[in-house]
Amino acid sequence: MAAGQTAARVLEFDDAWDWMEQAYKNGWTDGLPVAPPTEERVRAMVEYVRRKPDELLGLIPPLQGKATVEKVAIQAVMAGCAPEHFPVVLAALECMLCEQDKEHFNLKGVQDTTNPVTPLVIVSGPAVKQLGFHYKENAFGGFSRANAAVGRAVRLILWNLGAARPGQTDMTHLGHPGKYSFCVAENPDPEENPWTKLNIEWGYPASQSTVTVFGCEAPRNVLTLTAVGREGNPGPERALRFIARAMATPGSNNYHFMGQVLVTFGPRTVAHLHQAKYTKETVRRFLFDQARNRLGDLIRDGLYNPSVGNDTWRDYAPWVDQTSPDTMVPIVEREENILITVTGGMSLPWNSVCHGWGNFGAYAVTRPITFPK
Amino acid sequence: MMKLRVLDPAGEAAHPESKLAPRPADLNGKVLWFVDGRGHVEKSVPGMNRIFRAWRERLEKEYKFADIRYVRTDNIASPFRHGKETFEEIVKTADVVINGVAL
Repeated sequence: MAAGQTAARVLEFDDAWDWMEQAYKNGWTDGLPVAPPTEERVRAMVEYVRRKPDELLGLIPPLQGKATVEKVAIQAVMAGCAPEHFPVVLAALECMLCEQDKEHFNLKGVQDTTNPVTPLVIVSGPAVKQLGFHYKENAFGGFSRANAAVGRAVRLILWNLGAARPGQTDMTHLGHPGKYSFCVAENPDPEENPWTKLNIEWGYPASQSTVTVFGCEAPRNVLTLTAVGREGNPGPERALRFIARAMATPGSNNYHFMGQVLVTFGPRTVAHLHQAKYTKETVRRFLFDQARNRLGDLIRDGLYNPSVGNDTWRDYAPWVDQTSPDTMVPIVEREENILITVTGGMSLPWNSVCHGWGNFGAYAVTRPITFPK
Repeated sequence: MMKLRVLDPAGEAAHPESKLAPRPADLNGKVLWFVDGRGHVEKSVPGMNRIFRAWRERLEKEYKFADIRYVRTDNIASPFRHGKETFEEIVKTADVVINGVAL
């Protein structure tokens, strides 16, 4: 197909309100209004990334709907994206479609599961500032077009191309508000976030912006006022223990199915930890050591059967002593399954824990954002 | 009056022609697979085992199968992620598959 041509069917409406009403009637939105994907807007989106409109990027479950560049661009326009946001959407889609062994997102499962997990998009690197992603107060709650539109585009891809419909194919009992739009940005300011950034952690140079997608529950706030310690007191360590307790909360899938968990640190907490010589890596190790539950409590809660043992909980590392009820069982199998990023306001040490889907999938996947040259 | 022209946002299934596999008229001489999709969740709970066992007993009274096989999938959420060989074996050998999940 030549550039400038469209593959999708052209529909005609009297005006934008007529379009909107038909969008509701035809189920092209999950309840929020959507912008009309006019031919011109969609074409501009496709031409920005210099890709062919009919290029197939993958199939979106459960419908196995064809995600062509043009069909994805239609969703991005409806979401309110500007053309420069489109490369971020494409990178997020690439993450969600990743089914490699160690980066198994399992999008079909994420779309279908009874669990409330939904894809969270985390933008890292220079694109955060270049595209105006917000990463300070109300980091999860909405402020900038970039966060809202990219998160919304992801949702509409899953809604329209994957046809995930509540009660039919999307069986989540509760979902969470992030399903409408779920995109945050990592604080790129070195003075507020001196830790290793996500893009670098995943092996990319600092100049390369990335998208990480992780399927998770809504953020659970953790205020670590105890991190504001005076000289010589164990404030930072107390704060980390506090966060670890929030990570090990009963009810999440991590409690018994392990998998991955995301912790977002506020820059105020990071400042205290950094002052106390904690790096991202040592924080992760500390949390891995502390975010644990007593095996006896898991047995009490009916989540571990001693007679079946390791066969039930295949992800327990071999070193986990399953013969003693006093064994402290980690909530993830390995420390690298604790994802860490920095986002949020500065005034107080607010942090969050986003529990994952356990070992069923929704594992974090990171991909570079490819901007046109 | 000028019309607003937009592109259709609806998904298009890659395999719209998908349909049910043909059902054999007679189960005699056929290979039957029971696929327990429970994965490793709560292995201590009988899940589909009880139901499959009851069905097997009943079916064996009525039909003489060439073979009856049983498999439990790797993971309830991605059944054959680490078991593509098993999946291919089912595709290759099965005349009839009974697939189920129970917790």
